Amino acid sequence: MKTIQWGFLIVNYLFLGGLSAGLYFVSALATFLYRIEEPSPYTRIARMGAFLAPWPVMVGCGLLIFDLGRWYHFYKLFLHLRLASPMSIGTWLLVFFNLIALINCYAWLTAAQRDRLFQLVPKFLGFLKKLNYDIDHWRRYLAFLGLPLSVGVGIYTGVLLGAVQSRPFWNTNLVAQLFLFSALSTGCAALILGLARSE
Amino acid sequence: MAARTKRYALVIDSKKCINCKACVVACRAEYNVPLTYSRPWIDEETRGTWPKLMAVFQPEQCHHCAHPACVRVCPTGASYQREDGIVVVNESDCVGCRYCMIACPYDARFFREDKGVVEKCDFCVKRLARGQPPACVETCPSKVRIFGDLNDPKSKLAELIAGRQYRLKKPEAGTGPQIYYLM
Repeated sequence: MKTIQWGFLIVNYLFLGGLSAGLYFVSALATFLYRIEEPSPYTRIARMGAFLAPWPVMVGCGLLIFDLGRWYHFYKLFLHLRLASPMSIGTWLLVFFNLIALINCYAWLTAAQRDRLFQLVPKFLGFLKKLNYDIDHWRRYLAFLGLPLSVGVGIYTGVLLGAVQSRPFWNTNLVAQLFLFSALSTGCAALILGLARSE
Repeated sequence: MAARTKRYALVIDSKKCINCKACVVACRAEYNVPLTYSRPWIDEETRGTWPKLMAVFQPEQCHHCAHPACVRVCPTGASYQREDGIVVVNESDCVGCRYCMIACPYDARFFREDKGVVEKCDFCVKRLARGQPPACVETCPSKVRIFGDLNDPKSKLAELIAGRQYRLKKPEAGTGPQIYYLM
């Protein structure tokens, strides 16, 4: 009974996940190169990358969840960790990558932007305003933490398809490399577009 | 006598198959499978050129592999292999990601849209527990299917595998299929 699985939603996720991974990777590299005290061209690259990185993958995660047969059972993926299954590894990678990317995005906000963000917090959630910390000095640690995660998110989609030995067309190690490098190039392209828009 | 582990398998004498599809109907009646899917099915193939034509019918279903690819890729462990070799899906753990369907070399699984889970042949584990053979085996009018325990040397199945030539489907997928097609 041959039927086609993994349609439109998954295809879009593969693109969005790779896009985020590439953005984060380039942003993290730029973070290693910039110096906080002097104005450098890397600051803009790192900041733009950090701002853009979390959103595509979050949309992608939504797509993944709604592709499930029973999306309200998605929490069951987090009750198990099966290292033999690329999908199980991928779900955990995505969770940690999303978290790190969001924190990194916050770490790159300027003081003025942070104040504007916390003005949007409604009054009854006033206690959240205590979170208005300056975590600029975390940037390099976050880049260091997130770099392997972004490579993981970029490469695991390829592993997901490449590990299937019953589809000979996919079943090659090159698929993983292809996904990783296309993720990096998509990230760079999105970054260039973002920088061009912000000028 | 020490307890012996069972290893269920199926021998299919496909030359006897007349494509009556009684196995498909019996399975559907047993498990209430919607009409658009079925757990077992029959591959029809026409060989030769006119006027020398031959119809070949090959019953197909889950091969209950020794190293099932579907079990390996399942992210929640909903697909698992029992000790007697039967590969089953635990419906309450299945999230419906359909990775197992992509991993299966035989396309033996299908996705139930109404339930949102993946279903497959389970060698009728409920009937086995009652001591009955699987529904498709019991109903087959031309005795195509012979079900039994591989580890029992006295069974009809072990006898057939020892004495006749057989063919496995897609052994190159590396999953160790356990349906033996007699030549």
